[in-house]
Amino acid sequence: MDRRIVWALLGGLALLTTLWHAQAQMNYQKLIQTSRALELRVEEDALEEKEQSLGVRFRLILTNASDQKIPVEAVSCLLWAGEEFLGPCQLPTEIAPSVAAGGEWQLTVSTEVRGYYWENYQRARREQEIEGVVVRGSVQIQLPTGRDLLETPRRFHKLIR
Amino acid sequence: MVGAASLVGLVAGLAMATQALPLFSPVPGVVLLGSVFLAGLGMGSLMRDLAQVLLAVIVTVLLSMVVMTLALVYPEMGPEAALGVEAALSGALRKAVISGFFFVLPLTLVGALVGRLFSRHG
Repeated sequence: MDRRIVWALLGGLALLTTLWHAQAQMNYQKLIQTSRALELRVEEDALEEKEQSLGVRFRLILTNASDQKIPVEAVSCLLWAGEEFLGPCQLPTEIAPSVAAGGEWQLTVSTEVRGYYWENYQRARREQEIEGVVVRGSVQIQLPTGRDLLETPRRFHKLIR
Repeated sequence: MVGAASLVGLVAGLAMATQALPLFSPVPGVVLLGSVFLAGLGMGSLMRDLAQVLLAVIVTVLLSMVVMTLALVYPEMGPEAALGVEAALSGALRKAVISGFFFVLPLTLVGALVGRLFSRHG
């Protein structure tokens, strides 16, 4: 094989791998920036005690300060009073599928704790010094990696008094 | 010999560093491994002596480890770093040693030995 061709091949490969690596690093940095530009908050939370039930309300707000639309895959959350389980949150059937670039995504969650779970709440009030109801959950989002989308959860946790 | 080994070490190190970021790589892993094999093939075709080929492969493997470590640690040096230098260095060194022995060494060795055949008959 001609030595000049071999040197050209080696030079070309060095250039190509440098470009590929630079692109991979750019994609990685972009993912970190996008991830840092997302903020998940729980706001407007309230507890409402009734005769045979407990109303738990809160609003999830996901702010996207990045320049990319972020798809929202799913939302899930559980309610706890001390060590007593109060059941899963009752989520609305319509959930916005994505957060627009520079936009905000909101979800109002309103759950009525009744029956068996209501008894758990009463027991927790009697036997434990609970300060309120804890909501724990996550919003499953998809972050762009350049080649694909990376599914990742954003967790939230709040004591509702 | 040193020039070719340096260039192949650079190719192998950058290819392995890109392979260590599989989610972000613009090309599939098999293309990156193929480029390392091709670089080894080119290096082998430049050499006639077997001892020279083996020495070049050792230099390539060591250099690829250095290049890969630097390529993975460099982005973590800035204030926007996600991991921090110590964590990145520890992870990068481990990946560089594993990639060096399990991917770069066999690929460049086989590539260089095949390339040496081209050198003899070419």
